[in-house]
Amino acid sequence: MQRAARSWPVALPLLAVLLALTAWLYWPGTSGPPLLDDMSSVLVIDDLQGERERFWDVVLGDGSGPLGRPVTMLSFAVEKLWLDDSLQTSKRVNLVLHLVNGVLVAAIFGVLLAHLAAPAAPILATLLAGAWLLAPLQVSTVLYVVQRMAMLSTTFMLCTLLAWLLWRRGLAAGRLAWHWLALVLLSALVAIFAKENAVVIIPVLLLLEALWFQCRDTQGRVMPRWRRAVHGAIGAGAAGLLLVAAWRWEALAAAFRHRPFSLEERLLTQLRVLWDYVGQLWWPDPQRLGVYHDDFAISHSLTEPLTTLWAAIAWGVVGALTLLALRWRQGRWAALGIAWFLVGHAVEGSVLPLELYFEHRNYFPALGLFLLLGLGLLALMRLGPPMVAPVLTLLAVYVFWLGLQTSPLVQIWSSRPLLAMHHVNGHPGSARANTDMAVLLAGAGALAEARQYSERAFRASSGERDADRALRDLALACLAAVAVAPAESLASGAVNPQRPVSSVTTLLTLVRLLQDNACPGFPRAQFADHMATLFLVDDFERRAAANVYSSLAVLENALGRFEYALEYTEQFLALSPDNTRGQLMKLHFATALGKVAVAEEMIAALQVKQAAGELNVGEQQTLALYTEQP
Amino acid sequence: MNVRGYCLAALIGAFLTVLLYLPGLSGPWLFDDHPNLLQNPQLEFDPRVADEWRTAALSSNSGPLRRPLAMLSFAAQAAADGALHPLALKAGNLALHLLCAVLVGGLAWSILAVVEPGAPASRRRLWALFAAALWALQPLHVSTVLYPVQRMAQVAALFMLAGLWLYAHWRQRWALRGATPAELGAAAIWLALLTGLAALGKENGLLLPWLLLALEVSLFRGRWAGRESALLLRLGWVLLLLPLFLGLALLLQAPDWLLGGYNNRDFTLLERLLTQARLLWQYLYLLVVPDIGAMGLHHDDLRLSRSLLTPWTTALALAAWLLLVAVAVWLRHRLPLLLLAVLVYLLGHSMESGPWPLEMVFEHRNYLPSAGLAVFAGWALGQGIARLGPLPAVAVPLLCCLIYGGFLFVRSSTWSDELRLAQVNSLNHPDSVRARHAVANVLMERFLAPQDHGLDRQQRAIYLAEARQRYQENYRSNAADLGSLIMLYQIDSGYYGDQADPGRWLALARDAVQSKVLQVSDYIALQSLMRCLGAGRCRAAGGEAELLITELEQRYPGSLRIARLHYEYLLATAAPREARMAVLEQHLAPSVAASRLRYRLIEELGAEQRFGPIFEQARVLLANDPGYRELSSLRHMFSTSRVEAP
Repeated sequence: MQRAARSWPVALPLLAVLLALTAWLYWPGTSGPPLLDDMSSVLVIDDLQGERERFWDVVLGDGSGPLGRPVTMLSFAVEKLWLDDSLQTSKRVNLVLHLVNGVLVAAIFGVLLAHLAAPAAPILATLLAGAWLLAPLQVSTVLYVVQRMAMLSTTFMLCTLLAWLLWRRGLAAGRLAWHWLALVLLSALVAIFAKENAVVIIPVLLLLEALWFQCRDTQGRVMPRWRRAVHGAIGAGAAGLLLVAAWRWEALAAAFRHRPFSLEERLLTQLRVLWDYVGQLWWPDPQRLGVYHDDFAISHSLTEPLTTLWAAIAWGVVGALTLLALRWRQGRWAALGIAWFLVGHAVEGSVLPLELYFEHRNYFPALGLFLLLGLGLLALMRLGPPMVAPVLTLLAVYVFWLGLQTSPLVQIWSSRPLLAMHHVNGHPGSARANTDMAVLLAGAGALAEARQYSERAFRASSGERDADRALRDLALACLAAVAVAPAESLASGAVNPQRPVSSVTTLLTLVRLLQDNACPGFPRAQFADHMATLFLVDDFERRAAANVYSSLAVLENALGRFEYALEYTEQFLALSPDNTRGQLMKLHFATALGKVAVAEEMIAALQVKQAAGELNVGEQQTLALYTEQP
Repeated sequence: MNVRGYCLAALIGAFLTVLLYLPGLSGPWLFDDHPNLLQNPQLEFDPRVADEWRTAALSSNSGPLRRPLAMLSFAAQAAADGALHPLALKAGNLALHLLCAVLVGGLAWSILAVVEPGAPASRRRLWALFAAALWALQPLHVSTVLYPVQRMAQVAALFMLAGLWLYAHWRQRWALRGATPAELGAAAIWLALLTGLAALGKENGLLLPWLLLALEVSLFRGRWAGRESALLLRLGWVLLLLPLFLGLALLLQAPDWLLGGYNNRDFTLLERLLTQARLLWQYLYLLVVPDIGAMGLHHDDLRLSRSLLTPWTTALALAAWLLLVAVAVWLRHRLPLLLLAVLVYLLGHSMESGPWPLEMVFEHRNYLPSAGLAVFAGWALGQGIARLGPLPAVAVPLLCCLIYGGFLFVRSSTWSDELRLAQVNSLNHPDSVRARHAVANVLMERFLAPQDHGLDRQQRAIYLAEARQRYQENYRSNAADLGSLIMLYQIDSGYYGDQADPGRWLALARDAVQSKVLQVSDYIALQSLMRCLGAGRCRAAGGEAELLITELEQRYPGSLRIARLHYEYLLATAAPREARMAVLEQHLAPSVAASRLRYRLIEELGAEQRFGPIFEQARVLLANDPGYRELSSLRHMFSTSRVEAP
């Protein structure tokens, strides 16, 4: 402990240097472009300073997760209200959050390593925090605004951990510091409302207690009742989860029907995905890092691809070694690092029907791997005092090297063209990366080249329909300001007319462009007629997803063809009954067509919702337009 | 001499070294400074952006590791001064030189504690001081210290000396009381880190572990924990000799790996090795006898050894080396420092004076290898003279330093002016084509920019005539000297058109192109010719330039350098963009890594605002740049163009 105390005067300036270095490296990236979900979750929050009454709509109105992630949305709303609307500000806030998290990580690692009486624990902890701060894998979290959800939940998870460490210090000394326990609960709750997968903090805390502190008091004696409670909770939790999984297996598997992979395939693929994460965290390959990993090969069985089997065997070996290591005290410490990483991935990397690979999922679990690295270095340092300084220097060199890998990535993330090129270079088989490149080229007026990438995207995609590609090509032509021949617009749906469109986003993008009249020379009405022949049909339920109909309603609205618009809206409501947006659209079109009865029916339904407090401010304002007397 | 006196003497020594080097600090940029520093756009960077430091550090094309540590120091100076200035860079080199000298002193101090454990500490300090002073005042090092880009060699030497000193220090302790696994582990990590840092200065840094073995077999000889370990001693010798066998095995197993590089040289591997045997004696002579008349920037007048007996001195030199090594090994117990000096000298030279297909001679290659000699000399002088009494023990080494310092000052003064340096080099090496070239080039530069040098019309005419004469001398001594032929063509074409037949030089140049292996300097000359022809300054019969380009393309099919020449000619002649782009596209198709040509193509496409191909070319550039070395340029291209995100 004395040695650790002596290290703080070095560790604190070192931490300041690492934070400054991280900020300096990341700064250019804050002027980068918006990405995917930024559009739907962040960029939609505009002019909040002018419409302050929409504050709570923003906070409570996000549909990203089952709980709506209101804590994260609150941070966006506060930022828009007090700072400004720019994406750059949002990215800078992310960066500040990353730095704050770095400080918390250093503090937590410091406490954990001090418990092991590690020589120069504060310096080791600071350097490990530096490795986490500067790992290139974090770029796609920090500079991707919407991933504040993962960052903010991690912030509160780290607060939970810190509060737990302070609480258990009292527990070990025979005191029960309730205020720390209250903070544990409060932080955990806030973390879950920032992003739902923060729920993994509960098993992480239990494993921390069981494996790191091993339920011992300050004298090193086991606290038997506490140990029974902790082990019991771990056992009960694991058994409960397994039982639920077994019991709900069919339902879980059924949720994968809209994915190009099954539940079993996802689980098999994750065996490889997790190893890839490990590699990218410890020894990164920056060329493959990015947002698009939809080219990651699905494991259809243990031998297809064969690497699935090797990955499974490797995890089996890790598991066996971990079980063996549980026999020794040092082994249990190492087991925590592995468990932290795996448990951290338990929500997003297991049975839920989410996409296969996202780098931001490692933001919290990565701490386990860096802790494991620290334990390996600690073992070297324990060979004798002469080893301490060189091992720490070696780690510092590693941290610096990680920073050197992060630096070009940040620079790439600061430029829309470079980011699109980087993605398509690193993932030539990614439909998204190729689409993004096509959009970039079209935006620069290079339609021919854009279409080549669109074609590659089509070939790379497993579920895309011909009509999706045709719609995308139309949108690309529109972006390139090239007049489209009518025959081309009619190609949509020529193939697979039973369910011609699978991508709502592509259709919606085109509709928005048409709505804004951004496509000179585009035969909008002709296109809308063709869409009507495809989608205004009796078996519409099987033709397309609900949002396709709402998008087409928007298109017809832009054309002033309210009959069609109403028809599409009714189809939308048939697939999404009781949808408020759909009801408001129906109200609008019915009013425009003078269908008073239909309009009044909608008003009545919406007023019931209003009375039940189910309408947000924006929806209430829209409804008021139809109910208030002129 | 007590510690305080020692420090004071060291400070005075450092001060005097600075004074002696002072005249040379105002000297000019030199040859390799141009491609590495002056023509390096990555060194004109925005220091506020972190990644631009990284790309600046990786911007050198020298060596497989890019020498980022040395480049980083240049970048730091460029950032501090706003631009690169030769004075600042040379001052930085001098500071590094002093640091290295301190390390030589420290190394000598540690080594002498092993060799002369019974000698009083004050005497050992004095010997170490002499060693450091002799090394710091070595006139041969002027061509390292006052040649900015040679900082690469200095940075490598700095970390290698630090590694040697640390090892000597630790190993001395281990010889007496052994070492714990932690001490061994720590030493291994520190030395590995120092090797890495040295290698990031210049690849020679990788020799550090081999040099440590030289210390091991010459000084410590298996002593461990107060006992002699035959096993450790044998292990030391085996490890010392192992790289030689591994290198030989590699050469036999994959000869093309090494021999392929000789395709662009006018000598073979065997010829290089034989020549180096003589050359190493010549270096040694220059180190011991400060014959500044034989020193110089250019040594291309060196006669190559074509066989053991051509010239006969080759066999003699080789035999002498074998003899010297044998004697040093034989006397290793009585004169361990002799063996150390020989091993450090030979191993230190093993990379640049060994089998790699590098240029034959450079003085800066002695920067580190001379350290062992300095330690030996410091000890030998001190030890030998000490027997004569206390006064000579100090006076004689001081006299040596005075002699070295005097010659250093003369040489440093020579290096203060570009023309003087070139003329002295040429005087010292009258048969050196490069030296003559250098003089002629400086004269031409002054002729072309008379206002910078205050030249009147008559002086200009004299300079031009003298330059022409030098180029002609070069041609007479070497009819295939492409650089001189091209310069003669340009001079006669531009200034003596009425009295001379410039076409003759061009015809001779075309013959030379057919007969010789083109070197970097030849490409530079051809580049200048293309610009001259293209701009119409050089008169040529119709189609002469195109003919030359066709001949070059036939002789070097697929050569990117020739493609660049062709492109520059088309650019200078304001050829249609389609023709220029056709040349670029033709050569870029099979070669994805040709970044310079690809930038040219992007520029051409940019002028036509063809954003699709621009993005595609930029994407290919990015894909073939795994270290993201070109990233700053690409970033700038997109931030300043109209093709930013839609």
